Amino acid sequence: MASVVVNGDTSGAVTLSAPAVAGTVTVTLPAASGTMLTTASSTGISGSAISSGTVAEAYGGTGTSTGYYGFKNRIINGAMVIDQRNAGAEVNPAVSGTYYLDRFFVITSAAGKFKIGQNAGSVTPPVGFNNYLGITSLSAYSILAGDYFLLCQRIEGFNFADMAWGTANAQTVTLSFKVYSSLTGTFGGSLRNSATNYSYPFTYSIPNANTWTTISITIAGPTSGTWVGATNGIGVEVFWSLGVGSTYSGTSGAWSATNYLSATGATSVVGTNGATFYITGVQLEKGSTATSFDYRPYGTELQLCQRYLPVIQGNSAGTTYGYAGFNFSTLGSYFIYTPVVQPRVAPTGIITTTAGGFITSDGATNTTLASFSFITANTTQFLISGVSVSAVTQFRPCSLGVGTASQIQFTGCEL
Amino acid sequence: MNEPIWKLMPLMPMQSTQVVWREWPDGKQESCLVTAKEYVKWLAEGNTPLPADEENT
Repeated sequence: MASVVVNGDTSGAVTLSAPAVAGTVTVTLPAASGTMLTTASSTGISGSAISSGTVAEAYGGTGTSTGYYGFKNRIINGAMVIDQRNAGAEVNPAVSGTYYLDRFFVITSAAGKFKIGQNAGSVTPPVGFNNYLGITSLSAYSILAGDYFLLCQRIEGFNFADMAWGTANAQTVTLSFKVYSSLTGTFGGSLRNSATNYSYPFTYSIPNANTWTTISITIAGPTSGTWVGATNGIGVEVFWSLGVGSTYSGTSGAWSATNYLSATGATSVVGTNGATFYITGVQLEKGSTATSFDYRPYGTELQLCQRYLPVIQGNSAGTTYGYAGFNFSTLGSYFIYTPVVQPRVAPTGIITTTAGGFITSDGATNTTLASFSFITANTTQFLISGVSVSAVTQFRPCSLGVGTASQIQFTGCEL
Repeated sequence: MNEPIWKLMPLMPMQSTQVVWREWPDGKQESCLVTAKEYVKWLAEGNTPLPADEENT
């Protein structure tokens, strides 16, 4: 029999046809009543919608139950590509309270226990990535009860408020990353509020030394605790422990009204001289599933970073002119900089590197600048001064020349 | 690398808050408002800045 025709009550019919190939094919109808999806139309697919479950990313779905795809990662620079401060150079030792790769900073209770840098150690990054953040222990330090050695990223409240943490609608999140260490065992970290009085210690396992391991940690959102909501304050802090003492270590897998920075019993990286801890592919997203990494365009990721670190950057083509100003006296010039990205808050200072030098040019004379100073700023205009090595003509308009690899960082915008 | 001492800068035109400045041995220069977090923390550690030069730059 090639086909079966089922006639309708009034008109029309459905024909079930066997395939024109050998063998038996089975079609199983759903166990519940409904309408089968078959036809696309100008107004979309007609018939029933999928009301539960998820469609995997490999089949064109989002892979999540939250229904969104791009910009799902609340971590900035999770692929460790942007390093505006150090351009890939390793810093030895890392200093507490300092940012290294963009958006990632370290906090330590004792100085000089590890070094840090982009792609430090020169191992092959995991598939899909070109960069990682590398930390190497500089001693075999015995952790005291009150010690803490941490890698951290603070997520701005504006980028996290939809999680509704601290309310009955608190959303579940999933933290995922790829990690590589010379050590094996159970490692720790935590999520914490900005008031530093509500935290969630977590653990993860690295079973094989010197092997990239993919980690996924799902965290039910807290319905209690104080969270800043949609502000430019700290929405949440994410910590990876490199060694934390008992005072700041708590039971993993549960929220606590305590300032925990890691989980009890976690491995101490700084406890082994030369131990390595490399990390990349960091993603924090809504939902209970770790989906594929949210690769954003380089320019987009750079702009996300520059909200927290505006930079005037020289390039390899030689001195670049273009920052308007005037000579405030015979001693030097004022320059106005309009940032490419409006920063989180107005900067409060500058750091200058002088690799290729700086020049003030009034159209007739180029004069080298010996030193810079921050003057004032709001979130749309920054004013700095440069003192020249020889006299310039007072009140003459000028522009700033930025030499190869020279840089002016505007500080104070980080969380 | 030992942390260099901050130096107070003369108040400049268009400035309402004083600035401090310092230079590291590797040539890196830093300046910030006296209200900036890093300077306030440095002061809280018991440090004292160098006085500003008398000549207004």
